[in-house]
Amino acid sequence: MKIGEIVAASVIDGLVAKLQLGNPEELRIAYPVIVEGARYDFYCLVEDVINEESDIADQLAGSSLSDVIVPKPESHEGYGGPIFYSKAKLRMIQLIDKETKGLGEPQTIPPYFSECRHATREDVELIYQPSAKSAPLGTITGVEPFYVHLDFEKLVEKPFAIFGRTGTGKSILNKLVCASILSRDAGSVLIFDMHGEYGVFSKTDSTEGLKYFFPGKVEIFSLDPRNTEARPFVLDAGQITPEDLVIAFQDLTPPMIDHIYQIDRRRPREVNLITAIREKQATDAEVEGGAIHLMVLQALQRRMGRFERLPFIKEGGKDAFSQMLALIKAGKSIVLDFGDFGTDPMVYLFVANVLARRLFELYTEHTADYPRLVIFLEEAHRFLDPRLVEYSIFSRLARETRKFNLILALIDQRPSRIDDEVRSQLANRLVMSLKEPSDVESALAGVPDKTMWVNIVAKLPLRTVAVLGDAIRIPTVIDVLEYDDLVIREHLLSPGNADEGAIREIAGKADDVFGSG
Amino acid sequence: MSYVDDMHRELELLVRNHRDVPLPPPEEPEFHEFRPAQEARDMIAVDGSYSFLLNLSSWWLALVTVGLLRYSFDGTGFRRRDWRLVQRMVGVSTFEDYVSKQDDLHRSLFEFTKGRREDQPRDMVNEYRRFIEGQTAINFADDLEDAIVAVDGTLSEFPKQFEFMGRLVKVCEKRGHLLVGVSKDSQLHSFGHPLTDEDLMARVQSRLPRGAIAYARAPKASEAVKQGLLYGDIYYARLHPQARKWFRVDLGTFRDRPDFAFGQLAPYAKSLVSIGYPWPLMEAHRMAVTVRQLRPMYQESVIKAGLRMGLDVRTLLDGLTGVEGRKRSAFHEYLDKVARDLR
Repeated sequence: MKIGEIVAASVIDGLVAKLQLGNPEELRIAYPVIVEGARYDFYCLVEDVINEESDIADQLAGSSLSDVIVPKPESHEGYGGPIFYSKAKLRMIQLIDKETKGLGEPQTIPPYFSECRHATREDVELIYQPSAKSAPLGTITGVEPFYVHLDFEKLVEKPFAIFGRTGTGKSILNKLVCASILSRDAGSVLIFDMHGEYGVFSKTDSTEGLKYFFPGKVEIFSLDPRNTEARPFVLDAGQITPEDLVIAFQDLTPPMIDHIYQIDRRRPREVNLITAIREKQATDAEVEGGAIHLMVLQALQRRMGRFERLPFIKEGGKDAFSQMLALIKAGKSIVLDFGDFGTDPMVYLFVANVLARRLFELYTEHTADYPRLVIFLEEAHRFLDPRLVEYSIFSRLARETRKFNLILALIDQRPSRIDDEVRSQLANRLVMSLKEPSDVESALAGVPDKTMWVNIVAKLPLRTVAVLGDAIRIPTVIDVLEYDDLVIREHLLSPGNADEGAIREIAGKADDVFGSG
Repeated sequence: MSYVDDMHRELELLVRNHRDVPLPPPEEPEFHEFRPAQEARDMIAVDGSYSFLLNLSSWWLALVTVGLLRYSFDGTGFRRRDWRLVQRMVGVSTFEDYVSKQDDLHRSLFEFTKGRREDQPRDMVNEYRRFIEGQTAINFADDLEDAIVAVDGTLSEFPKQFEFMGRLVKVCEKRGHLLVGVSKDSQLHSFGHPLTDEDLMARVQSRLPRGAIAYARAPKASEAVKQGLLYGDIYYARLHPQARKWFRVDLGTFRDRPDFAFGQLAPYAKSLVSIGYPWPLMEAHRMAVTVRQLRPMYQESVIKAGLRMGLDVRTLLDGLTGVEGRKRSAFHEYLDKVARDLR
């Protein structure tokens, strides 16, 4: 259906269409539109919908005259269409050669009066062509149902991020991304599951977790000893480093950090760092020499007391890490369930950092021995805050490990708090609604046509994501798939992927977990 | 004595004659109230415009554009049903020897406007515009029945021998059309009053009940003056209670049924954009004046064609005109520019 004609065009600034729609509400930001040039079809996204200022409109608005016909598109058809009309700013995204159907970058403009119309399924099919390891993430907004595929092999080649404010559907999107990675065998995943969402069933919304759909590919570890469904997670206290503590406690002062390093340097090797700090007795010489400040030491020791309440830290205990590694090596994915500890940010920061550091060391030394692993890091800004980034292993993970098969996936609601250098490493960004201007700016730093995307992201509805990066042919706004059993089976699970018997068995346990009501 | 004293004296005279002028007795003008028709006929609205493009010595080139629109009204909105856009290029000259070699139409235009000195080129083109308007209306109206044919301006014609207005009236009578000519602005004093007829109507409209729409016929004596040239009866009408002004409306058919005629016009005068003035005429006007808005484009094609015919660029550029035919290279234009720039 024709929606307008081109009245201005620039390769740099985009196109302007005079709309022939009776109602501008029919067009929305990020809708795909085709402008039919002579030789090319120009695939565009709606950047803005505009009612320009008009002196006549100013004069007529607010009239209290009775028995008059107010000028609206449906009441006043002028000689050249509606007398008051809207315009749309369009951003050219791709050229489609009308003859060869070949795609190209938009380096030219369509002629004046070129017709604009809504993109059809046939148009978008030319652009979004599935690949061997692609899977649908959702439908394109503004087009009859068409499932847009993301190339998950490309996605997991380099660090990527999912940004969005709380409540926009980040977790659902993350689940879909994880499920797609697993269904397409693009890699394995390691998820720090703070809120019990990714295991068999989500504790927050009862939706199915990864273990439900991929019982043979996913193993669950739990920090909570009461979770008998999962393997117990035990951390050897001897593996803890000063950096783990700095990240875990986030509020340590520089003198505290200095004390940790000092104690670490001087502790006997058979005494773990936490015990060394807790049992540290400052000598007179240390106090008088200024090496130890009693107040600082006491503050540190009080903080270390919190580790006593963590049952999964055991002196010389059988560390779960080697077990995890064996599973990862076998191509399994890991969900680390935090149980009741998920509400304690210190525990999350601490455990994630310890595990990531050990994985980093192992992957960098023995790259060839391990398959691709994507570490999903929620609350990423807590690890990658510019103030703490030097202590966190994750900034190195983002910068260095793409060549080592260890890929970092950030999930966060405050991208502005993530270190610039880390953000610059992101090859793909899945950006959901963000309201804070600094977050929008940061989420889109370095993206081509950033101004347009800033406007689009600021107005995204819930459950909608702007995908930008090399895992998708062109930047696209996608209505995220529903996350439920039927949809996942239909779109992500091919017969070979689904272990129907195992799924049925797990589904049967759902009643035990949630009740049959 | 300064200009301020002059201003006070002259303005006082003006104000006195305008404000303190005695009003005619209550029966004059004779107002007739009417009601808008429940079902309005389709309206065919015609308006034209022109733009001069080039002036070479005593010869001018102008483009005339006539817009015709057919609308229907369904009680809630104006629906465009059909349209025509007619464009004619016309060359006029003020040099008699040259004109004598042109066709009948050009010679008639020249004769009719002779003696108007520097306004003659404009008047010739203006008459030509009215001629094209009439032709366009005739051609379109002859294919329809029982519509309203609304032309811009009065229902009069010059030069007489072409009789396009007479033919238009005949076609409208044959096809059952209501024919009206609506003047945007009229300076007529048919009531013999110091105020123009339009101003007089505005001054005495308080005699009408609030919210009434009405018409008043001009004295027949004023029509008699134009005997043979005028094809209709002259009325003044307020087509909407909140109309910003009274319009002169010449009634060319249904002359014995003015209530019906004005009742048919009133529904088209309800647009908030042009309260009291028929919306189709407004659109026909907008369509016609595109010739002025797009003048640079037309001038470009004149330059290209002129160059191909061997005219030199300087002559062509010096000959480009404003819409009313004044050369851009005219010395007066140069003086105005100097006066503007040397402040």
